[in-house]
Amino acid sequence: MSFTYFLKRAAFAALALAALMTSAFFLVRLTGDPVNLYLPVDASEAARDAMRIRLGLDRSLMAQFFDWAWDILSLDFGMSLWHNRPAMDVVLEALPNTLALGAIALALAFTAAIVMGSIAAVNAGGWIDRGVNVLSQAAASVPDFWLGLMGVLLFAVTFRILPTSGFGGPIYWVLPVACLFARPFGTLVQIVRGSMIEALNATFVRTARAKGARDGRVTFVHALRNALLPAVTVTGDLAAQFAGGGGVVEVVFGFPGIGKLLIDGILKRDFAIVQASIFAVAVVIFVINILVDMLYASIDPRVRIE
Amino acid sequence: MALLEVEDLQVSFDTASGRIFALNGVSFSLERGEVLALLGESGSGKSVTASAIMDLVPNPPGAIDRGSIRFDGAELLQLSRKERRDLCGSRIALIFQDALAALNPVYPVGWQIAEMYRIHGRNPEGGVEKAVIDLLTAIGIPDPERRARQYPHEFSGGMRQRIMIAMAVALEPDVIIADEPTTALDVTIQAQVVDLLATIRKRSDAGMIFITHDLGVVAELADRVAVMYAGRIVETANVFELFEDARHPYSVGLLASQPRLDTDDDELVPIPGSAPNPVALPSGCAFRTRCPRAEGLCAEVIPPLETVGPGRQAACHFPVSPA
Repeated sequence: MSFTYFLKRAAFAALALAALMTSAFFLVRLTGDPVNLYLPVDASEAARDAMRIRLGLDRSLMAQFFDWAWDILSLDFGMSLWHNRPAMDVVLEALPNTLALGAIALALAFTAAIVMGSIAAVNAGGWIDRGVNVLSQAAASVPDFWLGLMGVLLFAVTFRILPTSGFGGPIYWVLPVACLFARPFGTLVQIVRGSMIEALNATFVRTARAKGARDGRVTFVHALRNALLPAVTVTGDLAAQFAGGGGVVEVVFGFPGIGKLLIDGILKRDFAIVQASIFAVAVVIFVINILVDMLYASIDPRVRIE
Repeated sequence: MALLEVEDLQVSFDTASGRIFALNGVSFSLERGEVLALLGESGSGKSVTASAIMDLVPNPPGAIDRGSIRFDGAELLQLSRKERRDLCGSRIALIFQDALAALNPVYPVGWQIAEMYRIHGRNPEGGVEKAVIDLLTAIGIPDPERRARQYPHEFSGGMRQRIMIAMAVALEPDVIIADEPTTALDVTIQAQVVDLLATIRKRSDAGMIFITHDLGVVAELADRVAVMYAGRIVETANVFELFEDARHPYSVGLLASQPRLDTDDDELVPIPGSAPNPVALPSGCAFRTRCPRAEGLCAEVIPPLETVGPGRQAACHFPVSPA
């Protein structure tokens, strides 16, 4: 991947980001007036006006927008109303938690899916294949909120071996990771199985056998690398989804990630937090897409861009 | 004793429309230093024969029902899977028809040639890397150091086929099976690849089985020809005898349907009809439905492959008389 190609991608990403942030600015203001949420119901009109003036909400929408745009260009995302700290500081505390959670779940799902999908493909039609098929279909279709609640019920309430929610040592990660693992695992097993069956029937696999390669080498060196591309594509898509936070899973387990922060920010009309979260997630997704492209090129020389 | 002896080989496949007998008792032998052409139309069983020798018949749906394949005194069909794998590549090598499909797209060609040495634990003098470069030089790839790091899609069709050939001959095998190695190539490139195979053949004493439907290539390269039809060998003869004096009506028809430059006769005579449905072969001789010489006996008794002259055999009740 050449440097000019990277610059071109970055320029397009900057345009997309500008459009995204603009719509975020207007959409977040549709959630309502924060003053009504933060002041008591019986607060005087004067107190309300005073707070609006302090937050700059008294000016016209356009004036607010141009001020805000200028601040964003200088990477100033404003103060969080709720946390009373710079919004980006709060976002950058939550983001690593989400990225780690997503990365662990996806890495486990990808690795397990490669192994299970390959085993199923090698034994295509046999009972192992059928077993893997049932398991992966179930994993792909079970809703994560249900899995989360059942996990809490079973391991936290009944067996009392895992915490219901919260954050801290590795033990707090087990249930969230398990919930985020299921769907990608199920989907990826199906994809790996399909592309492995195709690769195992390819002529170059016959060549490898004719060269005297053993089954393990034929499967994992010759077929697998050719079968990886579809799995990498889907994993990239899932990674982009996870970058936005584990959504329901973060809320169910009270996991302090960007998803929970974003949802709380919307509920609390904390405009700065919402805007800073969206910006950070968009940048992460851009980086993930670049990484997936680079991974692509390193797996398959035919997609390398001159 | 012959280097490779195939006897009464029968291979069948389970398909949706029934059991297909791809080989119905194929017998031939190959001597050291000899080039045997397996000649026949698509579906006649040429490639299945190669697959059976290389242990590449997919099982299921395919199965070797009976017969024997003896190589250098050992019965291949009684060896373990692992022992068969060890022979493949090192002592019996296969060159595929379509090199673009047969080379792995995601590994550099040098790596793929070097893999031959690695799989079989060989340590050539001067190292594997040097051996690969030497091979590429020998098969006429310019700038071999740079080209070895490139991928199959960066080569032309002819170059790719050369690389397939380099890979096959890397460990100096005793038997080289070339499965239509020139079919996918332009005519000018075909000639270069045939030349390369002829050079390799001169340099080593390996036996070569050359699978083709191209009579021109047969004339150029082969010592002996085995003509196949519907999973059987119907005639074997040395290449001159076959061209001058074919005995089986199918061989005669095959020769008559090819354009020739050495006669004024510019009329081509195609064989009437088409290759029989392998699920339901005609009774008796499979060729009888297209044969001008067929009589009642042909529908009842399968003609055995019988000696019809010194070193030549034909499977026909009513062979064409010697010219």
